[in-house]
Amino acid sequence: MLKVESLTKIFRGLKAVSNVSFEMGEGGISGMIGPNGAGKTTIFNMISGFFRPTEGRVFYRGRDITDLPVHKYTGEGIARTFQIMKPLAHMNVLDNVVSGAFFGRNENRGYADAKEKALEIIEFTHLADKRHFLAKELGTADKKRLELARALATRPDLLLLDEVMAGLNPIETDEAMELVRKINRSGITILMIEHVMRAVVDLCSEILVLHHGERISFGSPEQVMNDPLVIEVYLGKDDGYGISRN
Amino acid sequence: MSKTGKIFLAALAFAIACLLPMIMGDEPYIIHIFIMSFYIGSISMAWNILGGMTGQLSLGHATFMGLGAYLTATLVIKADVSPWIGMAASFLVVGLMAAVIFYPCFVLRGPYFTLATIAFGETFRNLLMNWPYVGQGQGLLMPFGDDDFWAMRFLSKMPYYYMSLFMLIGISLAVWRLDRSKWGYAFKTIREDEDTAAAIGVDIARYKLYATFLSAGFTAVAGAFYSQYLRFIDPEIMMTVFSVEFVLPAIIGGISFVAGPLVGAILIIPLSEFLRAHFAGVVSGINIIVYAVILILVIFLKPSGLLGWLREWSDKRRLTRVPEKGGGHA
Repeated sequence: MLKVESLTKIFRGLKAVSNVSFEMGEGGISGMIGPNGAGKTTIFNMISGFFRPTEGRVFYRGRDITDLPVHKYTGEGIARTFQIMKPLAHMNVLDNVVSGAFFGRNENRGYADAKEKALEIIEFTHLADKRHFLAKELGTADKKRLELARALATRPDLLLLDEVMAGLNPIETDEAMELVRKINRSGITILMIEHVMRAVVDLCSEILVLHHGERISFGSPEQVMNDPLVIEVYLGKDDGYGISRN
Repeated sequence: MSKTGKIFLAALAFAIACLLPMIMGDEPYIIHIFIMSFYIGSISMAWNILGGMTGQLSLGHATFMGLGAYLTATLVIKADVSPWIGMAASFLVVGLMAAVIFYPCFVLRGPYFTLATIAFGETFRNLLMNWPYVGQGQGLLMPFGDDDFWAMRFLSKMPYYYMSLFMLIGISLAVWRLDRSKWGYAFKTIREDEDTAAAIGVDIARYKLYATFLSAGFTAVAGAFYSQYLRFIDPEIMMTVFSVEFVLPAIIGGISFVAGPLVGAILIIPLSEFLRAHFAGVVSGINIIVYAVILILVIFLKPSGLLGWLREWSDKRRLTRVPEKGGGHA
């Protein structure tokens, strides 16, 4: 479904991402992990059109989408959330989601249709009782949910989630994981950046590990977690005792 | 407020506005104040499309208004074209002009965009000031004559009263429709966060273009009306101070509300006129001082404007009433 070929991004001499390739199939949940500054969000920005890669191409359903203007991506069926949440602060929850429902792959319809669609998604993401709140009045967990809801409203096939679980407490994390699973079950392919290992290992069928902008491992959670290179990056050199995965 | 309540209130306001001249009788000065309120309200409403909805604060709207006025007046004087046609032409021509000229400025954010609009205004004012065809600094005077509907010429203020009233209602309805449309949501999304807007699928440059076109176009229509009502225009009408005058009602009423400019205009302009008429002899410029004080108070105490304050108050009331409605305590 999504194929990334030797993606490279150089910021004024700083190589943020270098020669990263991977491919992901339809219907699954894939993860992207790596220490801070590994280039995860930069890759996201290139896949979603916010950055133009210095080198490399991005293919979506076999089509080269690398040079598409950024606002065309939801029309192709690709939606994203932001790591630093960007709610439409002075609009209420409903209007935030209605905005999404007017664009993306939604046919050009009137307000009543857009609102109906938005209400459905608000219900789906458990924001119904807060739909009249202004986005800026929400707590972190709800803001994250709102990011998801707004992205879902564009009716994507591929959803790019940038740390939707960062800053959540364990209970909220469980809820968020359940929501991600539910979204995936509804037929949406998911690629997520996540630091919460429990979530990554639990949800993802394949994981891409980045370090210093390079791909160091790719595979199932077991493969990745037992990869000596990954262990070294995360925990330092193996001292012979191995690590126990929980 | 409930939907029926709102409709009732709007209908009531409309009925009062229609009957007002009959109740007031022949009071040209009072009627004039109302005409100016409706006229400034119309432009403030139009400004709000670009300034309030899309978040691009323009201080160039006096120029859009002036260009509409000049276009209509020139057509009347030089080509004997009816001002009604001039009005329609103003909408299209000035709207397109503004959209084309501002297109390269859309990359500017915040105050930089505002500076560009001021520069735009000054440029056109100086252009007209030095262009002999449109009378340079002396301006243009509409032809005299008997009452003529087609020439938008009346001795009484009454017809202008209704014209300005219907202009205000027309623009308000257009903005109200816009607020609930795809365009409106695109505008508001751009105002809140351009990255999010792009991520949703909003073509930012294109929708800013639409917002500028509509905002400038409607403003030019009001300008066309102005030229026919006062029957004299000169480049002074394009001064930046007048742009500020168009922005104030929107800010005082609440720029994120469709009815904000309306509420602001109806409260502030009669007040300003009243102060000027009654106290100008005592303290000249008192209306400007009061304007300034009100503006400072609004920005300091309630940046969301009078309607924002009203909404917060009603929200609070609703929230504290919920437990009773819910049927006792848990």
